[in-house]
Amino acid sequence: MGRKTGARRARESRVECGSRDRRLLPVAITLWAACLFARFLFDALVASTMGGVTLDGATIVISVAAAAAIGIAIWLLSTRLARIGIGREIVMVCVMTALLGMIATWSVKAIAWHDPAAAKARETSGYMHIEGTVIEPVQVSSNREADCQAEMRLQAIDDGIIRVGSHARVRVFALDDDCTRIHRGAVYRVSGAFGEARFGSTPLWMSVQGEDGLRLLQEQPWPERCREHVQESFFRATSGLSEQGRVLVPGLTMGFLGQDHLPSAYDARPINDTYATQLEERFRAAGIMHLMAVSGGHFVIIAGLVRRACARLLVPRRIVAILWVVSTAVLAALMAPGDSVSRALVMGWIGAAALYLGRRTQALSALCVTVIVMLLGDPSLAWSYGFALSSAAVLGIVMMSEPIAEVMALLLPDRLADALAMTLAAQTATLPIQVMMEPQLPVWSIPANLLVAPVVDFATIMGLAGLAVAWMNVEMASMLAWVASWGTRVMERVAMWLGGGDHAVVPWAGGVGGALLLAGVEAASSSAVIAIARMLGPSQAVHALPGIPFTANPRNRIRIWWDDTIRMIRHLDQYLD
Amino acid sequence: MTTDATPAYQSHPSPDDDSTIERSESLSRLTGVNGADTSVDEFERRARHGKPRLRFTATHALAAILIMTFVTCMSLTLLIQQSINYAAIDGARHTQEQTADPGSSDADEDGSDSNGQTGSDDADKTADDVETSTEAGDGTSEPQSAPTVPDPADPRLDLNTATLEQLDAIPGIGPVTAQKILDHRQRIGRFTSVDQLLDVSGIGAKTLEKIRPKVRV
Repeated sequence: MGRKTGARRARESRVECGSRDRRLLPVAITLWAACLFARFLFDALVASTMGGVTLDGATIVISVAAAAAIGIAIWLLSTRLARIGIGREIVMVCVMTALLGMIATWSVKAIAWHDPAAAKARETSGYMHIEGTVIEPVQVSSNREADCQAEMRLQAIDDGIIRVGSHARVRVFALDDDCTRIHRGAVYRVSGAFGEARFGSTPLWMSVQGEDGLRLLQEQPWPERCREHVQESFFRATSGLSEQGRVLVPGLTMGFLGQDHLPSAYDARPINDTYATQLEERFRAAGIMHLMAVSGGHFVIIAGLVRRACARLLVPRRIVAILWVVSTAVLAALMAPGDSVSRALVMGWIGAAALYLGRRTQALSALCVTVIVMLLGDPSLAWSYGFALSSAAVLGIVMMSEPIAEVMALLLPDRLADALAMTLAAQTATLPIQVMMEPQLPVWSIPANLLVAPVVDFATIMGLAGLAVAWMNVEMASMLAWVASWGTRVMERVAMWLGGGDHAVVPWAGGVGGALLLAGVEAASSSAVIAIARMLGPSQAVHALPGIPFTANPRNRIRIWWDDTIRMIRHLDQYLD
Repeated sequence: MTTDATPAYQSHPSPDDDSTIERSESLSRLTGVNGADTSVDEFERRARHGKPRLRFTATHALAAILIMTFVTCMSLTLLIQQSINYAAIDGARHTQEQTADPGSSDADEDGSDSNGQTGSDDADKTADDVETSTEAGDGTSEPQSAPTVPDPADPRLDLNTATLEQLDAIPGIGPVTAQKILDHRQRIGRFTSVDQLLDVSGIGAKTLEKIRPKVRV
C-alpha cells in the first residue's frame, strides 16, 4: 500500500510535456532489436541443425539462465521506472512489442526457409525452370558472368518433373539479347542454372541458359509501361550530358546511377566504368554517398511545393492532404525502389494524415510509427542497411539538430548553424551504421556536406522537373538535366577533392564491435559536451520562465555591435549637425 | 450567476447594476499577479515541466497485450497446422521409402500415388505443401535408396548413377554419346525409364534395343 502511494506521488510529481512525445521511441527501438535477435536466433538454430549439433544440457541451462536474467532485469527496470514516475506500462508495451516483433520475424524467416524454391536450392543446384514476375528494374549485372540482373518474385518452380508453387525472391542473370527483353512487371518463364546466392541480399540466383531460356508469359501491365517510359525518357535526356552528369543526374534524381542503367540503342558511347566506380568510391570516402540514393529530401521538396501551391489557391486542408499523398506516391513510384524511399513515403503519409485531421505533426512520433508499422509488415527491413541509415539519420536530425543549432547559433549565422547542425546530427547518428558497412571513418564528411548543401536542393528540383517533362519532350528535359548537371558538377568536384586525398578516411574497427565502440565514443563525447554546457550555461530553472535568457555571448555581442553600427550610419547626419 | 447575468445584459444601459459590478470583480480576481504565484512549490513544478512524455496509460498496455495475445494465438494455430502437414509428409515419405523397390521402374509412380492420397486427405490449402514434399521426396529419397540398396544380382548399369567411364564401357555407346546421356540426365534431373534415352540425340531405336539389356533405371 505504501509503495503504491509512493508510485502515485512520483507520477504526480513528474510533469510531462505533450509536445515532446517520446513514448514510441523505446517501443520502436525494442521492436527493432527484437527483430534482429529473432533473426540471429533463427540463423543460429538453422546452422546448428544443419551442422548436426544437437541441443545439449549446457545450452539449455544457459538459455534458461539468460531468460531468467532478462526477466529479472525487466522487473528491476519497471520498478525503477515506476519510482521515477514514468510507470510500468511502458515496460509492458515494450515487452509485448518485442514478442510481436520476434513472432513476425520468426514467421517470415520460417516461410522463406520452407519455401519450395529455397528448399530445392539447398538440396541441389542445377538446371531448373522458374516462373515469376520481375519486381525491380533491370540493372547492369554485379556478376561478371552476366550482362544484366533482375529481381524476380516467383510463382512456381519446375524441375522438369514436378511444378510447385513458390513465393521466393530470385535474382535472375541474363546475357545481352535477353536483357533487352526483360521488363519490370512482366511475367516470365526462365530456364537455367538455379542455386543459392554467392553474395548479396537476395537468397537465390538463376542464370538464364539456352535458346529458349527466357519466355514471356504475360506482358507488363500499363502502369509499369508508363513508368518505364518516363524513366527511359529521362535516361535518354541525360545521355547527352558530360560523364559526371550521366552518372550523377539520374542518381540524384531517381536513385539510379547512370552506370547501373542498361546501355540502350540510343547510348552512342557507354559510360566509362572505371570513372564511375572511382566516382562512387570518392563519394563514399567524402561521406556524401547519401546523395546517390533517394531519401526524405525529394519528398520534403514535393510536399513543400504542393502545400505552397495549395496555400496560394486557398485549397481546403483535407484536399491538400490528399494531393500530398497522391503526389508523393507518384514520386516514389518513379524512384528506384529502396527501403529508404518507402520509409520517406510512409513518414510523409503520416504527416499528410496529421494535416487531414488538422493536428500538429511530431516528427519523432511519425518516425517511430513508420518504423513500427514497416517492421511489423516486413521484418526483413530490420537488417536492411538502407532502412537503418535512413531511420537513423532522421532520428539524429529530430533529436539532436535543434540543440546543436542553438549552440552553434551563438557563434555562427543562423542559416549556417542550421545546416551544420543538421549535417552533424545526421552524421553522428549514421556513423556507427556506416562503420558496420565499411570499417572506415570519412574525415571530411562534414565540410563536404556543407559544401554541397547549397546545390543539392537546386539540382534535385531541376532533375525532378526534367523527369516530369521527359515523357513529353526529351529536348526540354535535356535542358533541365543540363542545368541539374551544373549542380552535380559541384558535388563531383567536392567528392574528387575531399574524397581523393590520402587522409580522406581513417580506419576504424569494423563489424558490430566497431559500431558499438563508435556509438560509445559518440555518447561519451556528446554527454561531456552537454555537461560542460550545463556547467557554463544558465541554470535549468531559468528555462521555466518564458523567453530566452539574454547572456553575453559572441553572437549577441556581434548583433548589438551590428545594430549600433547600422543605426549610427543611418543617423549619421544627426551626428554631423 | 447566469440567471443574474441575463437581466444584466438586458439592462445594459444602467452601469451601476449590481450584477455587472459582480462580474468585473470576478474577472479581476483572475487577472494580474497574486500571492500564490510566488509559491516555491509552484515554481519548482514549472521548472520540472517539460520532461519528455514517456508515460503510457493502462489502456495502451492492455491494447498491446491484447494484440500480442491475438497474434500469438494466430501464429500458434498456423504453426500447429503446418507441423501436422509436415508430419503427414514425413509419414508419406517413410511409407514411400519402404514400398520403393529399387529394381522396378514402377516404384516412383507408386510413391507418388501414396503421397497423392495423403495430400487429398488434407485440407485444400495444404495440397500445395504436400505437392512440394512429393517432389522433395523424389529428389532425396530415391537417389539415397537406390545406391544404398544395390541389387548385387542385377548386372545392369543404373542410368541415374552411371559415370562417364561406365557408360563408355557399354558396347554401342562411345564417349560422345555417353557425355550426351549425362547432359540429358542433368537437364531432366533423373531418368524414370530407359525409353527416355530416345530423347538423347545420337541414340535411335536401334541403338536403344542394343543397349537395353545393359542398362536399367
